[in-house]
Amino acid sequence: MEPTKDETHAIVEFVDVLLRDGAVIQADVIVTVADIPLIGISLRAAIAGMTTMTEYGLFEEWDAAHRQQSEAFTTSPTADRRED
Amino acid sequence: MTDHRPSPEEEQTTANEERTVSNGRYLYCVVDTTSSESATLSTTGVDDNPVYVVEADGVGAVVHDCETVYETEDLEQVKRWLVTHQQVVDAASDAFGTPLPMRFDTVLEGGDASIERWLEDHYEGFRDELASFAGVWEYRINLLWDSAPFEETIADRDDRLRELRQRQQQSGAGKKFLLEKQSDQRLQELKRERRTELADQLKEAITPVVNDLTEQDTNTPLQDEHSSIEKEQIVRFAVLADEDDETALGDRLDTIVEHEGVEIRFTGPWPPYTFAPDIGK
Repeated sequence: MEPTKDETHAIVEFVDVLLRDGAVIQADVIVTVADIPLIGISLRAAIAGMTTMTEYGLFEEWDAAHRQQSEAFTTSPTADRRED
Repeated sequence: MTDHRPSPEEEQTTANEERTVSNGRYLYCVVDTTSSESATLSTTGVDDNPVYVVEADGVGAVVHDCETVYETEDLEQVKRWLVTHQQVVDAASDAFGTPLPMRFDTVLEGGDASIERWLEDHYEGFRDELASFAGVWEYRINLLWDSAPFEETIADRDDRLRELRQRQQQSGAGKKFLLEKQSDQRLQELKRERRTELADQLKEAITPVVNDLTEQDTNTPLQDEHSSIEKEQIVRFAVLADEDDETALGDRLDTIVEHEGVEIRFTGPWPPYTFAPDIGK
């Protein structure tokens, strides 16, 4: 089995990840980080209708960008996935 | 009732006016610029801002200039920002290798000079962290289980449950109710055991090929709307694995999927979001 980044559940995963994880910085010059107002939005609501992203072409765009990057990484012209 | 309702753009402007930032830099991630020949990145970031790298002696911060922090009530906007944020981090990963990823909406004040100073202040830490994450990525593994096939056949394998069910059929109303309760309890117990067993098997299978593993809350507020109702989430792991071990990890997951009713969701490679240390504490 190969890991995916471009299916709905992967998008759900990274939204979760981006809002909750990632390095938290503490510095004098920091404006905002952990207590970002976005967290105040119901995350469930934020994710509802995640698939409607396809309507904006965002998902396809992302998918296409991925595949393009992947192709640049592999020597096989038929491969459409990153195989390091 | 008024004729004029604020358009989303107008609402946006109002929201943004509440928190302006002086000479702000929106920070995506920190990268090892010695891993690439040129310390540049040509991509556009959140809100179409050009993304660039601020460098200090081999350590780079991937940023764009911003005058506000990103906050909105518009959920579609949130999704666009998040997707774009991840695209930038992906582009940075392709150019510089595994980055130290920041949480969404991390904004520093004081322009490039401030960023450079910040990089210099934490220089040793960044070098160490980047070195330790080089060539490794985070993967997410989600184990789901449809218990229906298990429930259908478990009585064939469990003497106690079989006995309870047989007695149930031969009993009168009052006794039958009690036995029904007992067999249901036995079934729940067996399902609990099976869940633990599956989670343990998964952990055991992947542990040899990962550098780090952390179990995550299965009660995430975010649910995939395509999640089938039949399948319950048993366990979620975030693992840190060498990119060379990705195939081995996938192969091991294949052995778990062979169990009846089991589905594995395997995503990645992500930057080490879960394993990234907090900076400046």
